[in-house]
Amino acid sequence: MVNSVAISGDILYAAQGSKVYKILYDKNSSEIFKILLNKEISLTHLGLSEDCKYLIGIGDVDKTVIVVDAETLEVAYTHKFPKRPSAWSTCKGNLVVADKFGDVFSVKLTEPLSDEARKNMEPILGHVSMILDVVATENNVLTSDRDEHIRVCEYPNSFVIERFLLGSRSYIAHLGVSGNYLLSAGGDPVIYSWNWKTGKEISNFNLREYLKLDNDDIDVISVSVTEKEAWVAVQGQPKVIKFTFPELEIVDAFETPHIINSLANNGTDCFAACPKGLIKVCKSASLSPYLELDGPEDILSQTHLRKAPRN
Amino acid sequence: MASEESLEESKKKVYRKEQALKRTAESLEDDEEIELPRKRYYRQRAHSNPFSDHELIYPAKPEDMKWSMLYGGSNEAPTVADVGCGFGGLLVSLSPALPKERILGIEIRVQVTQYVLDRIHALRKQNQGKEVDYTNIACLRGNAMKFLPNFFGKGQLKKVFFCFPDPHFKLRKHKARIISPTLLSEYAYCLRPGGIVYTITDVKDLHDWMRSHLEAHPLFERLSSEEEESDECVKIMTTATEEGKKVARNGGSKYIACFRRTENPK
Repeated sequence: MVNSVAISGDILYAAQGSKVYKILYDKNSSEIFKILLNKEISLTHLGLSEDCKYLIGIGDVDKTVIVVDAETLEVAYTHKFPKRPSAWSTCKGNLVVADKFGDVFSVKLTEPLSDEARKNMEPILGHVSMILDVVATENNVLTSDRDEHIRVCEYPNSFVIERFLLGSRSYIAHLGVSGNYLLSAGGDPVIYSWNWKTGKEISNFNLREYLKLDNDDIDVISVSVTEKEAWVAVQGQPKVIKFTFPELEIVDAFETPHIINSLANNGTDCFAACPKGLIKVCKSASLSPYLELDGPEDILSQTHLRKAPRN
Repeated sequence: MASEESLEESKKKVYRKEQALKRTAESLEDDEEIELPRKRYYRQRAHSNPFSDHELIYPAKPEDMKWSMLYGGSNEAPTVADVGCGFGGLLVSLSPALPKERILGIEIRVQVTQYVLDRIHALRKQNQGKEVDYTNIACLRGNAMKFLPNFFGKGQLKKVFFCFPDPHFKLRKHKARIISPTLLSEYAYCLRPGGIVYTITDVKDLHDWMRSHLEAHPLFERLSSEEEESDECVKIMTTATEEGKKVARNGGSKYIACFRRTENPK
């Protein structure tokens, strides 16, 4: 299963089962996707450091976040945490990691802690519920949890909570930040855009109505945000929806040949990880360049995020 | 034995249902005498897991809260919170002491909450038209550790009480304690600068835990012992709660620590 994709310029990274691939995207070549490298590392939640020098992902075992040299795919640093990480973010050379226990830790990206220092590690902030996503910016940390809360804290003075962004009706699994604007999505059929610096909701969009789905259980599986655009994929749907951001007006909906696990974009093009490969999102499903990444089937363990309905 | 127990249980259920009906059906103009509810029909085990998904009702955001439904009159939001209010002893005693403030008790146990609601209803009825009419206290069922920011906006609260909280003795359960370094930031968010956190417990270990975490938090400073001693709310907290009375009956000690919310660092 290709669980995650990340991009820097025309270099793509995809995580599949126990492997990580480095792939060149060249739309003018006969070989649109060219696999440059692959290494045996089990990762999920791929992304790049701010300077694009490192590929970062959550390790499959041992409660780790693994920092990989983006050039060679060699493991550069392994950060171990007290509980299994659920999301990470980087800012100013810091790695900010949230876990399923509700705690957030901050460490130096390129300086793993000694065992002794790790034992005494204190969270910089915490929720009582599971944290599902975290974004660190120059002066703030944004976190979202299973109980419909988005919290904006100061950073590094993370004990000062600036505000909560409230109104979501289900868990919030994805935060996409660009400047002062934030896209939030998860188990709510509605996605929201906010000015997280003022706390004002800018806009929202009802995915259930748009997709003409009957039940309320819509799970947004991935979002990808640029300065002016937001791309959204819904679990089980072979489709990527593109919005203006932060207005959330529909620009287009792209049919894809497969269902989607994860999205990434480089400002111009959007790419999607699907169960068995990688798609460049295009006008029509049949024209979408597709790279199959064959490998052993692995089953991602799904955490149950939705609460039981109230009677 | 089993059937006797269930008979007892069903008696309690019937009683609680009757009381709840009285609360909702009766209008306050009604002349019928109303008695205070009897605690024995509402007993519930002392512990509750704060991490589980209870079937809770809470507003999506503080602005959605209809406070007039709880207090009657205006929609003015409460400024004093009693977190884990138990059977409501503190609420009832704070009502005349803080007549200008709306005071909210939050309790996670269903039956205990119901008792407090019935108690407040009866008190309001008995004291209609009097100077102290108990319309400034209310109670709701909720998990304060998870949903405090759903009820209270930034800087809304002047006072927060933590009276005889669950000590959660086991080390691995310390995250379940109502005072923790990360939760204190949430309490600081809801409290305005100058607002006060009151803690009291009969468990020395828990007192040391709460005190040391509050001392370590950058947004709280301890009140001087003179301030603590002269604070009327401290006196009430020490003597008015059911737990406090129980501890006094058993000759136990009570440990008190109060902290002021400071300004955010620049």
